[in-house]
Formats: sequence, structure tokens, C-alpha cells
Amino acid sequence: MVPKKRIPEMSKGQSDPEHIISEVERAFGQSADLQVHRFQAGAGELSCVLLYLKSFIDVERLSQSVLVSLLSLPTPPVSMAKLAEAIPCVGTKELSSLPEFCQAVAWGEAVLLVSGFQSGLSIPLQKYEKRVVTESENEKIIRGPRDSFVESLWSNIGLLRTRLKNPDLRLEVLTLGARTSAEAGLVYLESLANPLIVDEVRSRIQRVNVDRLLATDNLTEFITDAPWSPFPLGLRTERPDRLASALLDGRVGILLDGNPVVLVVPVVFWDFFKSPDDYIENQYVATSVRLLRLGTFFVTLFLSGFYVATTTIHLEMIPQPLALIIAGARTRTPFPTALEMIAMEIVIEILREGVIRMPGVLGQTISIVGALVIGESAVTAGLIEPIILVVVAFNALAAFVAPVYHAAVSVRILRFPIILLSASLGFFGLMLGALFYLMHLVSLRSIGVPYLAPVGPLSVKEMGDLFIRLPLWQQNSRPSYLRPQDATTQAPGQKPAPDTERGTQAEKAPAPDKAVAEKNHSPAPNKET
Amino acid sequence: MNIERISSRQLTWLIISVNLSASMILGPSVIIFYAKQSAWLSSLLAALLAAAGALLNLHLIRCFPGQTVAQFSQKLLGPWFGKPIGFYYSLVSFYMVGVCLRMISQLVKMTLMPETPLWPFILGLTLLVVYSAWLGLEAIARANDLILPVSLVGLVFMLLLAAPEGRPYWGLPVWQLNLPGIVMGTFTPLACFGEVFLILLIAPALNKPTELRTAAVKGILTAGLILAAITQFVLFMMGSFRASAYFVPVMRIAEELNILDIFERFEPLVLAGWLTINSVKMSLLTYAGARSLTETLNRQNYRPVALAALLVLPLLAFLPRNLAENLSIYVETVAFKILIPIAFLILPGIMLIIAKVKKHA
Amino acid sequence: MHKKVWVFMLLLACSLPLSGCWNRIEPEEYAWITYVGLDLVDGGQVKVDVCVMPPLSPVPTGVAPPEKLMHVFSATGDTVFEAVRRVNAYMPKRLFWPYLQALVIGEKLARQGVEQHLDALFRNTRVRKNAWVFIAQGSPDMVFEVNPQIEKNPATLIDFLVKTESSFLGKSRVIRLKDFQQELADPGVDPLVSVLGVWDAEQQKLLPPGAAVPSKSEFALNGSAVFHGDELVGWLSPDESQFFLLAKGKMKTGLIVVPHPDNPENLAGIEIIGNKAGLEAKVEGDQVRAAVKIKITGNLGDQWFKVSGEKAQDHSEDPEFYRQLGEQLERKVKAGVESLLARSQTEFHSDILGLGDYICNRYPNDWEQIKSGWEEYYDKAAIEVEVKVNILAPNVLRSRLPKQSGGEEAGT
Repeated sequence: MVPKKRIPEMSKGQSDPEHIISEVERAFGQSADLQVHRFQAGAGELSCVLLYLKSFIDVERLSQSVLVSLLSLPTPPVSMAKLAEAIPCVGTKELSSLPEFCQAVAWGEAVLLVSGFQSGLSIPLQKYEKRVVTESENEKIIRGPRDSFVESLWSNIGLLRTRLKNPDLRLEVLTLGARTSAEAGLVYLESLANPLIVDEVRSRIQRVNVDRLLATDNLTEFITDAPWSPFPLGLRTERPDRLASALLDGRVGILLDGNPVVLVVPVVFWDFFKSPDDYIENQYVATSVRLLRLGTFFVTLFLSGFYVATTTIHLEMIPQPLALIIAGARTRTPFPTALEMIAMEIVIEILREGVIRMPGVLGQTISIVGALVIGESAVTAGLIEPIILVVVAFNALAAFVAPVYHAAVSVRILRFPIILLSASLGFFGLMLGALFYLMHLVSLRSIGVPYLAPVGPLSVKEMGDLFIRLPLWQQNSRPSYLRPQDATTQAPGQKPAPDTERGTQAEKAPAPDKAVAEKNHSPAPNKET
Repeated sequence: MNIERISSRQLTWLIISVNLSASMILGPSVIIFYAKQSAWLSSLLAALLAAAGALLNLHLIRCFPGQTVAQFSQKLLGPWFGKPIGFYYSLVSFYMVGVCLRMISQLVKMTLMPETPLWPFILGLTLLVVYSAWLGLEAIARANDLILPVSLVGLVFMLLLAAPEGRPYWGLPVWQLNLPGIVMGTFTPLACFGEVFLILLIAPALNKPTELRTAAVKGILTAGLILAAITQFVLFMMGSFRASAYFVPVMRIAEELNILDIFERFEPLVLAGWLTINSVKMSLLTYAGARSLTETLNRQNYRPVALAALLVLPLLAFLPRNLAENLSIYVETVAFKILIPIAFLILPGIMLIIAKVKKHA
Repeated sequence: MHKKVWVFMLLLACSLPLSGCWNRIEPEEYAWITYVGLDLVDGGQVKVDVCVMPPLSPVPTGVAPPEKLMHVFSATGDTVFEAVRRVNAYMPKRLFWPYLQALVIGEKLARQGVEQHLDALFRNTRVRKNAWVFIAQGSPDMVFEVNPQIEKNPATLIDFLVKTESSFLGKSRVIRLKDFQQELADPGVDPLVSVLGVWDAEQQKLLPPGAAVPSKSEFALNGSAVFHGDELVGWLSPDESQFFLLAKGKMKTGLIVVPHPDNPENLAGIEIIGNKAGLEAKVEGDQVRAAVKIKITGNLGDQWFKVSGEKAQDHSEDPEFYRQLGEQLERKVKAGVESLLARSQTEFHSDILGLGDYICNRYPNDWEQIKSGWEEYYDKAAIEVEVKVNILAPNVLRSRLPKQSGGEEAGT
């Protein structure tokens, strides 16, 4: 629990209470919420001091449980341990060094100092302002569970525990950030996650040594495999069910106290096309929606480039009636297609960014007005050809099909080089750009797992839950590229069918799959990634 | 040195890509010109001969497990004779990439963008190829896992669309043993398949060395089958007379294709597919060449050498003055008649004999 | 150090699009070629007519649709390519070839041989190879003066015409540029090309070559032109073209009127709905033997009773009736194809069915020996024609109308 270096050094003097108090006061710079409460306990024989931050502590509990019990002590205790026993609080801890005292106060613990003792006692009485668990704003699904993570680490763990009632669920808490002292939680399933991956993640988190660690995304930038890559190498989610199913795949979750977002590693590229919805709808709907998302990804990335390449370089590929109309529409516009396309894409990005900042109801109104006014008048004024507007607007909409928002953001940036290349070299340029992206994608790894797995390297076995989603009773194995310790998720042969043989067996003895389920001791395989 | 590993399936697929990339475009026209209706026999014979040649190479590799040709040639022949061999292999690799770069650029320029100068194509491709080589063998193999099936599916789709235009009797006397023609027709695909010499350079990267032989032979034979199928299809589509009149009959098929009489002119897509599959080959050859040069110089990191390719490849690509010169001198004479036979058959043969003799002695 | 190199390369890559968009040509910079006409003028020069259409505007831009959709520009030159380039002396936009709809070749040029003139088009990858090829009797100029009424857009007009004709009538051998090229290049087959004429919509008749084109007129397909090698040698009437299509197995749908089986003076119209043909040829000694097997499926389209008062005999569905109907068609097609082939052998000396192509591919060794004298071989070739007809159905009415007990008047 000792914070790493870069904390202001303190003189290691005599650790009698008065000295400690003055040192702590000095460290906090007479902060207004630092309280020093002196009192006599143990029938007046014991002079005690309580140090705490009144902004951060449950004062009521402090007075009712700690003070009362201290004041009613019949005799002075012989040691700090004895004293701790007398306090009706779990999680008390004995402190001895000065930095520890400062840290404990900063963490919102009350520190009890007793004259005559070398050490002090920290009593965890933090009071968080908790947000209620609400529906996820950014990852909406139609059916399925609605709850989402909140800012408190422990509440989040609680949400997770309610889904994974399994002693295998491991939680390791690491303290990060010299000035923020954020607590990062590392969760995984001991019997599933590959220990090599867990070790790697742990050591990477431990390596982090920064001042500022306010968001999970900050952490991502420090532990990612390819720091320059525009593609997200970790999945950020605020849905407990998503985290639970990720852990059941053998992945690792990283929680950061004060953040409602959980980072899941390792991930592969295709995880960003999956939504918990896919496992709630039936397999046909899920498959078609997934293919649609994949198609839309390519549309977002390439459509504007494709349009520029076909209209200005490979016009012969456009059917003639369409080409005639495009040419007719362009007779009044003064700018080249490529320039118009880039300008309109930028306008759309401005609109989008502006609307995010706009307060409440106003946002929606303005966005519609903005789109209508800017688009319509630009066309009438002869600045833009209407077909470009159609392409760009469609593109903007397509970007939101991606079920994971932050993955779509980077794709939006990546299409600008494609437009430029297409404008200068046509399809050749477009392919060149696409191949650059492909080569970059295949070279990526997320905590050692190839980013494009199971397509590159190819593994046909894993295809059942990739572009298509097979029925759940066929998905008997975990993704092997995550190298889980236990590859099977469920007993085979669970296809519902009127099987007479099994029926008779079930009468005689417990069915074999039941036995497996008991042994695994895991909740129902509600596999949602 | 970072150790890269590819699986035997990936090696097979890489070999298919390498073999098809040149032969798919250059092959059919030449094969049909010589072998007429027995073109498929020609392609299969070429594949069998290439497989036999590959077995020679594989035998040599087996004598020196875990080493590339640049390493074991020095061990076998001493640095004075061994180093030139390492240099030679990297030269051939870079040379093949150079002419290939030129060919693609020229073809794209000729068919799609006649008003664009040549250098942007060559510059763009060089950057791509060197970037891929820089990323390494694993990345190339993984990209190929995606590119090869997609390209083949696209090709099959295109041929199926074109099929109604074909006439069965154009390809008909399937058993017509016109031996001289068949043998003449074998040469070009065999030379294209000769690029398999690069297993000498990448063999140690295989994760299961025991499967090397089956993986390589499987790759060559599959490529031969695919080439035979394409050739026969071109014959069926265009007839022997017309098929041999074009540089690239497949492009012609694409140009004449139409879907519902609305969508026409698919040659940009065909060229794009061809470009992708060629980018795999060129990246692999650049990687292998850089690797070989590094090992010849007894260095550890191949990446500086790969960067040096940024200068070498455009120089090689700009050597020929026009398409005719590129095809007839730089590809057919220098590459197919001199460089590749030496790299693929003569040098490995000599080294194998010396290795046998030394072991016996 | 490597990072610096990559940054440099990245800058270089970014400079790629900035340094120029060499091939960037905006769509409005083009003049869209829809038709091209080729002919010879006096003095041996080539005259090229380029028929260009202006772009069409979508509604909201407020630009009124252009009045005239066909603008013809002509130029002459020593070669086709030169003439085409000379058009740009007064044509302010780039000529755009990929939307070429039809190539119309004048009779004079066609009689002299087309291959050398078409080289410029075959060699150019931009020319649309799916365009249709036509021969104009006389000069092609006349064809471009048409003022179509029903479909004004010249880009779709010719396509509609060709497709409609071939799916309802089938009396002209329309051919795409790619197939024309193929048949010209192939030593073993001589092409047959559709003839494009002008229909006078006011007088309701086909205009003769060289006539003045009235203000209301349409394109019209009018039989086919026969080539020998690359030279035009003669004309086929629409009916002969129909037999040619049947012999090639390329008839999609069409109509043939045959004598009625009950009484040859009456007529029955048979709608052809399916047609296949097989060709076999081989060299026997110094003669070529060939067999054309034609399969036709059809429906009974209508019956026409010339003899007044006569009508269908009985009520039942008689397979014999269909067989007889089929036989009538067989007889007619066989006679038609045989006379067509005889004409091709004696008059045109051109191998329109592609016997040579078949032998060249199927028996390459035999072909090597006879290819130099193929014309004589073809003229002497014994070609058997075999026709099989299957009449499928009489459409919705029964095959023979029921006899009414007392009715005496002609009821059809």
C-alpha cells in the first residue's frame, strides 16, 4: 500500500503523536477540511488524537462507533492491536511510518494516534458520494439487462459478483498514480484466464507511474501493446454483463476507482462488432445484424473514397444513367469532387462534435436544423453537389452502427487518408490504403493475442461466433486465441430434441450434462461478449 | 533477433499466393499459345516439375535444420564462397520484387490511368512492400490468411458471372497430347513457380519443421491446380486463338463482363485483387531478401536492410524503359531464364551434392 | 533513426496525393459518346460521326432538361484515330468512350474491310466492348438524324430497341462489339451484323438509304449484313436472319408462321420460346462434313383460317396435332436454314456458322492442314440440318376451338 516514489519527502523524526500531527498538517498545508480531534479516552487516562478529512469521512459513524467505544474503554489497552479490537470497525490497520499516515488520511481513513504508542491506527470510514446504478447511456441494447457500472470500484465489483457467483473470481487491487492514488482492480477468473496473460497485464499495470490517472482510458494508453495504433486494443465497457461474459471467455478486466468504465483485455478486432444483443436475439437475426455491421464498417471506411475514385477516375464503372445525373448535378458546382467530399466530411464532424456539447433538448433540434440548413442552402447556393451530401450523410449515420462507440471514432479519422489516396490514384490508391491498414492490423497484438484472430491467423473452428453466430448449443468452446485454461464452455449435445434415450437415462441416473454443470460450478453460460 | 513463427498451413497458403501471383496473370495467355487445348496439362506438368524442384530444395534444407541458405552456405562452403550465395539470393528476391512492381504499375497505368506518371504507383507500392517486410513474416502470413481466400472467392465469383459467355467446344479436346506444345507451355508457369526458392530463406520460421515438406509440396500442387482451372476457364471463355492474343486474358474477361447490363467494367476490381495477392508475394520476397542479406553480413536485425530496400526497389523498377522491354528482357530472359533457374535448381543442386560429399568424407 | 526514416516516408506518402491528381477528371468535363458512325468519304479518308449527349440534371438544381439529346460532330482523317482526335478541334469537352452504345459502320467502309479501321477502337481500353455494332445501308449520317419520339434518351434507346426486338421478334442478328471483334479475329468464322435503318414514323415505312429523314422517325432493325473476313459481302433479309439465329441457337423468343396442319392454306403462328443448336463438323478426306442440330420449343400463338367458314375440327387435345404442327415448323426451318447455308456457300463464301472455328478448336491438327484453303473447303462442305420441334402448349385456349352445334360462321 505504500505509494511509490515522487511523494514529497518527509523528515523521519520521532514518531510521537504531536510530531506526527504537525507533519501531517504540514503535508496537507493546513487544509481546511483536515480535522484534528483531541480527546481523553480509557477513563481519562489515554490522550488520543483523531486525524481525518471531514469532507471524505462518515462523521456520524466516526462519532457513534469509534468515539463512543473509545470513550467507554474501561482501561487503557496494552498494545495497538488490543485497541483495534475495541473499535467496532472492520479493516483497521496499524501504521507506523509517516508517509503511511499521510496516505491514510488522504484515502479518507480516520487515523487514531495515542500518546505513548509508536504506531497509529487507521480506521476505514470513507464515505463516497455514490451514484445510483442506472441504465447505460453509451451502450444501449434493446433487450437484456439494463444496469451499468458506477464510479465506485466496490459497487462495480458487487455488480460483477452478482453475475459471477463463483469463488474463482479474483480481484487484485493495485494503487496507481502518484498524485491521484487511484485504486485499480484487476479481475479475472482463476480457472479460466491464462496465467501468462494475467501476469502480463499485472506487470504492465504495475509499471505505470504517473500523476494523472483520472479515466480508464488514461490507463489504456500506458498498457497498450501498440501505442501509436489508432485502433483500440482494449474494449471499454460500462455493462456488467459484458464484463462478466468477457471474463467467462478467459479475459481480464481492469477497473479503476472513480470510473464507470471497465477496460477488457485482450481483445480482437472482431469483438467490436459484437453486441450483447446478438446473444439475445435468435441466430438468424444476430447473424444478419452482424454481417450488416461488418458491411457498414467497410462503408464508413471506404464509401467516400470509393465515390471519389469512381466519379473522378473510374467513371466507366458507374452505370451510365447515374453518371449522367452526377455530371448534371455537378454542372453548377465550382470545386473538385475530392475537395467537396473532404469539406463536407469535416462539416459533418463539426456538427457532430458541436451537438455533443449542446445542452439537452437543444442539441437534437440544432442538429436537425444544422443539417437541413447547411445542406439545403449549400446545394441551392451551388456550393455542393447534392449527391455528395447524400454520401456524406449516409456515412455519418453508418458510423453509429458500430456497437462500440470508441471503435467507430478511430475509423472516422482513418477514412480521410483513403479519400486523399483515392483522389490521386483511384482504386489503386484505395487498395493501397486498405492494404496499409490491413498490414497494420495484422501486426497488432493485444496482450500478446493477434488482433485479427481468428481470421489472421486463420482458425476455422472459431468462425462460429464471428461473422455468423451459431446457435448457443453449438458454441461449446471458448475462443482458443485467448488460450483459456478450460476450453469447453458447456456440455456438448445440448441441442433440444425429443430424445427418448436420454429421457430414459434421466429417469435412471442424473444426466451427464447436469453433472458437468455442477462440477464447473459456474452460472448458466449466458455468453455475452 | 526476434523469432517469428508461422504454421505449416500458413506456409502452404503463402506458397499458393507466391505461385499464383505472377502465373495467374502471365500464365494463361502463354500456356494457351503453346499448348492450345492441353493447357491444363501444361500447368499441371509445371506444378509437378516445380514440386520436384522444391523437393531438391527441401532435401537441402533437411541437411541443415534451423538455418537459412545464407547461414548454411557459409558453413558449407566457407565465407568466401558462401557469402556470395547469400548475396545472390537477396539479389534475386529484390530483383523479382522490382520487376513485379514495375509490371503492376505499368498495367494499372495502361488500363486504368493513362494520364498518371509511373512513379506514384511505384512509390506507393514500395512503401507498402517495405512496411510489410518491416512488420515481419508473421504479419505477412496473417495478411495472406485473409487475402488469399478473399481473392480466390472474388475470382471464382467473376468467372461464374462470365461463364454464360463461354462455349464448351472452345476448350474441348481435353485429351489432345500435343507434346512439344505442352512442354513449351510449361516453361512460363514453371519459371513463375520457381519463386518457391524462397522456402530456402524462410524455412526455419516454420513452427513444426517436420511438416515442411508436405506443406511446401501441397502449396505448389494446389497452385498448379488453380492455375490449370483458370487457364482452362480462359480457354473455355475465349477460345485458344483469342486467348493468346492478349497480354492478360483475365482482364479482358473482366472488361466484357456485365451484371444485369447495368454494372460493367470490373477491371479495376480485378486489378485490385491481383494487386493484393501480389503485395503478399512482394512483401514476402522483400522480407526474405532483407533477411538473407542480414544473415550474410552476420547482423542481428534485418530491419535496417528492409529500409534500404526503399531505395533499391524503385531503382530496379525503373530499369526497363517500357512494357515490352520489361516483359521480354527483364522478366522472360533475365528472371525466368537466368536468375530463377540458378536460384531454384542449380545452386541448391550444387550445395546438396557438396553437402552429401562432405558428410561422406 | 528508424523513426526518422518512417516519419520521412510518411511525409512522402502524404505528399503523394498533394502533388497531383493526374487522372482526376470531373464527370462534367466529359462529352458522353453514345453512338459512333464510321464511313469512307471520297478521297479515301475516313469520316467519323460522334454522337454526343449532354448530362441530365437532377430536379433540385433547377436546370431545365436539355432540349436536344443527340449532337453529332463529324471529322475526317486518314485513320479513324486521327479523325476522332480532329473532332476535338471544335468539341470543347473530352470524348468519353466507356458509355458507347452503338457503333454504326457505313456500307462503303464495310465493303472495303473493317478490321484495320476498328483497330483504334479495339486497342483502346476505354471503349465499351459491350456496345452494339450495326451496319448502315448507305451512309451512317442518316441514322443519326433520327428524331425519336417514344424514348428520347439515346443512351437507353438503342439498348431498349435491341432487347425488345430480340425478345419479341428475333429477325436480326445484333452483335456486341466484343463478339464482333472476336469473330473478325477468328479465322474460322465470319460475322453477321445487324442492319440499322430509319423508320419514317409519319409515312409508316422504312426509309430507303439516302432519303431525307422526316421530323418524326425511329431507329429500325432491318435484317443482317454478311461479312466475309472483314468485308461486307451481302445482305440477309429479316427472315433469313431469323433462320440464322435458329441455326446458332441464339433465338430467345420469336415468331414463325407456318401452314396449318389441317389445311395448308390456313396458317398457324408459332411463338418460339426456346432454341438450342449444336454444331458438329469434321474433316473426312478432302471434304468437310457438318451437322447442325436445331432444337426448338414453342407455343401455339394463333391460328388463322383463310378458308372462310372453316374452323377447328374437334374438341379434344390431340398429340398428333401438335406433332404435325411441329413437323410443319421443322420443314420450314430446315428449308430456310438449308437455303441460307447454300446461299452462304455459293454467294457469300462466308462461314457464318463457324464450322472452321469448330474444327480449329476441336481438331487442331486437321485444321493446320486445311486452314489455308478453308474457303474452298467451306464452299464444298456437306452440311446436314436436323430440326426438332416441340410444341409445348396452346396458351390458355384449347388447341382447337370447340365445334358449335349449329354455328356456321367463322368464329375465330
